[in-house]
Amino acid sequence: MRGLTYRPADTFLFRLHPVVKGVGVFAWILWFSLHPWGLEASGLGVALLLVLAWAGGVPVADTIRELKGIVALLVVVALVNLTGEAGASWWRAGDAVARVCGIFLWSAVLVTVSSPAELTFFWEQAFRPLSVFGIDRRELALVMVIGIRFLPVVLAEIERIRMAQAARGAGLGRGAGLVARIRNLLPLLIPTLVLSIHRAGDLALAMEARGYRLSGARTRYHEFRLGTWDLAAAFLLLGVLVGTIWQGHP
Amino acid sequence: MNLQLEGLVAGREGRAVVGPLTGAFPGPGLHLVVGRAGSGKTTLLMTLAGFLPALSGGARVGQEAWSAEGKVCLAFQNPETLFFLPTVGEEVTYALRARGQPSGEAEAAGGEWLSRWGLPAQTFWGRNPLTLSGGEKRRAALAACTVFRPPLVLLDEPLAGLDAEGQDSLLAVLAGLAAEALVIVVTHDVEAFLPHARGLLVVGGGAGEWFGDGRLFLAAALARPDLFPLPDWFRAAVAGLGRPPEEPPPWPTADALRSAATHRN
Repeated sequence: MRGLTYRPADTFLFRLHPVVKGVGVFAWILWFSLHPWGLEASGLGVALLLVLAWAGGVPVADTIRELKGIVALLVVVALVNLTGEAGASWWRAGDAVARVCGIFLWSAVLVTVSSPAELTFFWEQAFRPLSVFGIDRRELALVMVIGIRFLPVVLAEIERIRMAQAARGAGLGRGAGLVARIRNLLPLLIPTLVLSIHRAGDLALAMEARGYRLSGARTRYHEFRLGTWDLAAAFLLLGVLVGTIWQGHP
Repeated sequence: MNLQLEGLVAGREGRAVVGPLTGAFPGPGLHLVVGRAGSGKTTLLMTLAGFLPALSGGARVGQEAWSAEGKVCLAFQNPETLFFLPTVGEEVTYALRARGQPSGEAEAAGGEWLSRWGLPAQTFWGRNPLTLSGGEKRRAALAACTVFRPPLVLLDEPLAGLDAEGQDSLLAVLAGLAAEALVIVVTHDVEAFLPHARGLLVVGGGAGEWFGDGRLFLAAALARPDLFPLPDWFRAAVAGLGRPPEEPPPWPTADALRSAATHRN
């Protein structure tokens, strides 16, 4: 999932207001979770998603390739739907897999079309209600954004450590079974955790050295304003979501 | 072990970079893989190490197909890439502990091995590998890679960034290692390795060119500058040693080269 990172472009998807992007993606996630129309609708939803992403300048092939990272999850989802309660079928398993793919792909699109500043802004707005309980929304937003920003770095680090271990004669784990591959991951966890903690410390130092503080009011370098297209996109998404809920749960 | 390549084509993401290569790396001994930048030297090493699948052909040892798992070490060009533990001691003992060796034995063997690479254990054991100097990092990485004595040792530019003294001492260790294992080295510093080389492969399109002796390669490279770009100083120093045209070039030992270079100046 190292390819999941912001790739700037100048298209309608990239120009949308950060809150519309974020809420829009969550609306689509809800749609994939709730719609009652089975595999046809899920497949259509994924197709629509890919067309929208392609038209919006997202590198669709690269995004689809990232699905490799959740193959194990997709297999488990399919198996659960095939071997579960009565009525399980290939059709239902396909629907479940398409829904998970849809949710993953929309999340990938959000990360691709949103800069770290936009994601921070979105999460700050999303966590605004928590201020009632005295929780600092900016702190939470920062944690979320750093988590997303550094996911590719941590994955690259895991790959590097795997290579370093294999360079000393450890198995690469290619072609091994699922259990063997999970067992091969265990020696990676402690070095990755230790290096991540070191990296977090370095990042905190770098941010403090540049004067970053959570306390006090902050001005914004990037000002985000809602435009006509943002409102149109928001109403369209709202319509789709409300329609879905209305149809599924009248 | 003798590693025999049979029409091996190495590449990345389905695109062939080097090959088909057919020839042998007889071991034990030190073999060089040389060629211009981008000719596929590192890709070949990574394929032999099992990091990349062969696009076609393959390698075998004796009658058996070559399987790298557990029998090879690969030292990357950037030694920092190999470090993932907090101390040099842990780095050096990792491969031994991973093979089930008890801690005490692994530490004793690791300490001795580290000292062989010019890093006394009492000084370097507890140091963070990322805080070492460039030359020390390279030695620590090579020690950590080779400590489990694999039959095949693959090294990518092991002399990069070392001064002349550092190169000489590392070459002496590598020559010792080559007495007991098959060591394949990718390098641009071909002149430093030539006196130790048992064989040499020049890659750069198609089947490559194999030389069973460093001296044969030197003669060919002097006669055909397009084969490999020997450094001008080395070319001039070898020429300065003088020889009748019908004889093979004299063996360029370090002392002879220094003497010839001094004489020219």
